[in-house]
Amino acid sequence: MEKRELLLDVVDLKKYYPVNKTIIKEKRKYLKAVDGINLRIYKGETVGLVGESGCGKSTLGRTILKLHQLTDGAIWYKGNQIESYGFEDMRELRKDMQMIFQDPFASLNPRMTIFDAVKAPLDVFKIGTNEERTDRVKKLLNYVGLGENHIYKYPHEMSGGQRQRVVIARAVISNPEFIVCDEPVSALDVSVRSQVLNLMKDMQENMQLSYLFISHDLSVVRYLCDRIAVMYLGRIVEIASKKELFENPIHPYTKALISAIPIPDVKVKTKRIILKGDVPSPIDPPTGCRFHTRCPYATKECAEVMPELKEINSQHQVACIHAI
Amino acid sequence: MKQKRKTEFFKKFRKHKLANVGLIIIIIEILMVTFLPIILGLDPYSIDSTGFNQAPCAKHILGTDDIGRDLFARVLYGGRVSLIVGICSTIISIIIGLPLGILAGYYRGIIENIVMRLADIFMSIPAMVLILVIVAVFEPSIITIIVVIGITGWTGVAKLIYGNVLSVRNKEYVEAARAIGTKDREIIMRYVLPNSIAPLWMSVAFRISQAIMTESGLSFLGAGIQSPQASWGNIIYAAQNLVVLTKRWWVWVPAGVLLMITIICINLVGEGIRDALDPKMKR
Repeated sequence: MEKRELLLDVVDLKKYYPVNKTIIKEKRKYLKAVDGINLRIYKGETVGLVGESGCGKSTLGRTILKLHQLTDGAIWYKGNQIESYGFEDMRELRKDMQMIFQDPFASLNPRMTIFDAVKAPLDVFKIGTNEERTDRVKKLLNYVGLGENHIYKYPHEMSGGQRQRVVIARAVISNPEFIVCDEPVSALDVSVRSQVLNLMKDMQENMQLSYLFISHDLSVVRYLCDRIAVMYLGRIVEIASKKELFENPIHPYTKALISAIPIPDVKVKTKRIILKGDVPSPIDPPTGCRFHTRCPYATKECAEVMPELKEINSQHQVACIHAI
Repeated sequence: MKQKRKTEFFKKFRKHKLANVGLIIIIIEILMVTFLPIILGLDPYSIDSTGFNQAPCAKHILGTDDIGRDLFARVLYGGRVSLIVGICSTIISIIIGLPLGILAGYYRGIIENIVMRLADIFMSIPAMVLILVIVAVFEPSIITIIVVIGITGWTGVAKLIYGNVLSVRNKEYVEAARAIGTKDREIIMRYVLPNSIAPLWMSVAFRISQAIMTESGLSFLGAGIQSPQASWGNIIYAAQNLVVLTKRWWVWVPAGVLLMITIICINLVGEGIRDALDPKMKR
């Protein structure tokens, strides 16, 4: 693998939410949404983050952007340790780190025209003169497929796909390098999905963007991502290049996920791995391996030892004690 | 751009027919109470010794009251007082309540506790008693009454806005604004405020009418606008007398009808403003 520039390095990131407020420290309970995540993102690559709902994917994305304050750990961005940055320092960084939200119906201010919404980041960072800003907004909106006639519309006058284009335009207008995409297409129609995904792919090539692409849809992730991290109950269980992960999944959870992808061919028989039970509560997660309560291969040891990510090969890491 | 939005607002407002009727009536009313007494040289205090309790006639078009004062003049002068009290005290309520409600709802924490508990304390004291006490300490004049009604009214505005801000601050677009690095002040002005202020326009109308009523009540208790000065309130309260109520309709009907029309019109204008500001409304 060629040496690439490390953009973001997340080290042992934790985000706990207090559940009850007692003065006695021993009795305090926390919802461990993100519990010790290590993740590296290189310049220009797309890292997919998959996992079922409630496993902490979104929280991780938001905590990296410091929209939520982290509980513990470190975030390195381009060699700077940013987890202790205050509001003003972070504000400067937000030019480079942006976010695309899941629900395009909720993430646009209903009382702002889309022109104003896309121009807002430029206004915030005071980039260029007013005419330059207007010009740039129009060009970008045109690029994402929204012509002159849409510019002064309000969000409710547009379709979901159009709105998501606005949200994407807003995220890239300040020329960021890193974008957290929080399930950007899950709220969209299947027919619009591929358009939006292609737009994002296009932009990545043109603007040298790095994405952290959060999704629960493996087929979407497969289409867009270079590397994929699988998350379960606040921890990464497997991280590998796309090819490796789909062809040679090692962690039982990943295997179950991949077996659940429908294949549009009646002749192909898939062996679907059905997991037993529900996801345990993140307030009181299982000891040892988080997955042992539902794992078909679980042994006694699994309940005792918390597995760390182990390197299988240079492009593949798994957190399972049974992995070779 | 700003210009464009302004004209859009007026265009939409103009399409709301009832609101326009309301606005025109209010403007006519304001012009009448300010200029008509001067033009016609009316005097609300002079006593016509030739006729007490006169029914409307050529000399007194709305008749006279029990001590022979011209009721037309009194209704106009009373209108001045009532409208000033209503509008000014509402403005005071908003000036105090709006920022407090927004800050409490947006920042939560200590500010929220202080503001909301203060509001609870204010609300737990019956407004009328509080007003009576304050009016008793300072002497009753239009200014005292405006200030007192205005100050006791801030809690309603603050609670209303607070509730709305609470729901708006958790919306994804506010988080999105934070994600692009928007400062708190700007988030409040461009995202939170426009999305939480809509109900205020209706409450403004309600508040103005409430203030006019409160002033009327105060007048009745002798703590409001003092006789011989007129207000719609103390004119109407003359109808407490059964004889006046049944036999001398001209004493209270004009002031009563004007009060009613004013309140309806203010409500209509409030509705018009709310709808014109809502981008989802297309008429």
